[in-house]
Amino acid sequence: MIEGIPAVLAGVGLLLLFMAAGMPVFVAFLTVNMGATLLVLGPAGFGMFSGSFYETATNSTLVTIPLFILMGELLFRSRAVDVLFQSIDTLIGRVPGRQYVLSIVLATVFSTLSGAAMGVAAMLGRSLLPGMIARGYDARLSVGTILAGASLAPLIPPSVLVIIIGTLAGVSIAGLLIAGIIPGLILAGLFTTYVFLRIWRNPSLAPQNDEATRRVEFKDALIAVARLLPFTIIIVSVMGLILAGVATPTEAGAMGVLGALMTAAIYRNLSVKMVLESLGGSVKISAMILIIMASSKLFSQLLAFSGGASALTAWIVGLDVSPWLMLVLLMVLPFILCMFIDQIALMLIVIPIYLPIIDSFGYDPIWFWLLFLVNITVGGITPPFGYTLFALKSAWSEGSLSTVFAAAWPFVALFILGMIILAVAPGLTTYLPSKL
Amino acid sequence: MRVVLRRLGRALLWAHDALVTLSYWLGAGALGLIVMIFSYEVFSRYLMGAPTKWASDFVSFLLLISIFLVLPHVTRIDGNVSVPILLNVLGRRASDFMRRLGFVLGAAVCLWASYIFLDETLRLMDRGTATLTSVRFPKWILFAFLVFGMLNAGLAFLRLAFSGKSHQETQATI
Repeated sequence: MIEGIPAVLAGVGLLLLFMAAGMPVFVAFLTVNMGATLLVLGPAGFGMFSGSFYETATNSTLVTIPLFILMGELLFRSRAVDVLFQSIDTLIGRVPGRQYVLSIVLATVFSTLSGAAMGVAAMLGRSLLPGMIARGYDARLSVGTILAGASLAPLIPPSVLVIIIGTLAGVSIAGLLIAGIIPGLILAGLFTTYVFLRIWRNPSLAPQNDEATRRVEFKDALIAVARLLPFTIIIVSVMGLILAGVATPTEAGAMGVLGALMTAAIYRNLSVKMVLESLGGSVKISAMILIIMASSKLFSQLLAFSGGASALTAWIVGLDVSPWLMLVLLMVLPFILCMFIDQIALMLIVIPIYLPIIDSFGYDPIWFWLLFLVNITVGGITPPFGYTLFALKSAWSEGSLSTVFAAAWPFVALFILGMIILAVAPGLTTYLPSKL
Repeated sequence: MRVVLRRLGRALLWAHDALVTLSYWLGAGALGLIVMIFSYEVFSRYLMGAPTKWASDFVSFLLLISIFLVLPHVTRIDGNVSVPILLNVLGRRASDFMRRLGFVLGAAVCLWASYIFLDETLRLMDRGTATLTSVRFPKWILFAFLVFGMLNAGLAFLRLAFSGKSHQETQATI
């Protein structure tokens, strides 16, 4: 029987192979885990296998996942997002390259609500992008802003990926949720600054006589703000309650769902049909995510049983590298892997392996896992394999893949710059959680 | 005889579809119940100062119930998360073969898992084991949902493996 580091390599290698072969991710985990259980523990280990499913599926922290998804579904299906679109459009007003800013904001908001960067990139690639190009906006910059905005979602609450990281890594979920706010704003600021700098250097990147750049009257702005007010119910229900220490993230999720229902009612779009469709859509997405988590739980336990996790940790610690170099190494692996495999699958493989290493290097858990979160989102827009790139390209039939790739690179660089800033200034991620 | 068998086969497939659809909507109902219970708990705790003892336990039970009631439907519509890098590179016939092979393996491991869960369910029933929660609940009932979910997901994988439909057709027709 193989053990130690070869066991880790064999397990991870088989998982990646099965996934690359198109097998559903949960089936890949099940196959490896059941095979390994039989090999390492024999049939007696199947009790542990059953237990791992039961423990994950009854983990009350994970209830937050369907609740956050339901909140987004309700807002999408009630067409509350249309109001959001129009109001943001009005409020952005007359700025040079306004549609670039609009695409960053919309992509961020939509992917935050839907939890699916790929879906939002495809949706905006089909709806917003052709209009921008027709108005004279630069295709590359337009594509880049959509990709970048969509990739900010995991950082901004409510984030399903944060719940998964928090659960797997045993880090405060409330802390991680709050920790994403400042980095999210910094990255959005970097993207916007980059767009303005590009337009300032080359004004032809944005149309000079865009019809939409009409002057926004004070009354219009006031109406736009008023129409956005119902969304504050959701923000208060989720972030307000967590920040005030009144509710746990799970309870805040339930309150957020009530807030979304109230928002839909205020916009006069609340109906039984819409609620049923939202429930149906949410349980489908939740089941997809949670069955992967349940199937993968045993993987980390098997790593421990085979002696693989401890051998790997001992080997890495024995390398005698500086904490900064180790941080870079720990970030490079998921950055590359995330171009090929699903973010959730990657987290389930990597987090159990990383946990003892992070402990031994004494990294602040919230700081480290937030950097990790930013890192795995960038993989999705990094050429040549980032899957969000392909989602956008498939929706944008008149564009070329080379344009999409070229569009992504500057924003990948901005993400990396953002990560460097967050790495050297840990206070940017740890300040808000320290106030909880 | 052949006609009778064919009709019987169709009736069984119809019954399986109906069962999977029913369980999907029950799973959606479980999520609705989770929202109601948690909302009640928050109001009860913070407005009336009387937290319940049962809310958190029942919500976690409902999470398990919801996942395993919905899993067969997600599998039926070929909706499970996958990363088809190789399939996109391979030709149409080869990728279809690989996809079906994945479904067969999916069916095998899901049916195997359902057998393991059934064994555990019967053991728990025999011993009369209850959950270690503030409100004691027979554990075998929860494990029965694991059996149901995995068994029907396994059957759904089998149906996908032997159906004449492509991935796009499967998703478009259901």
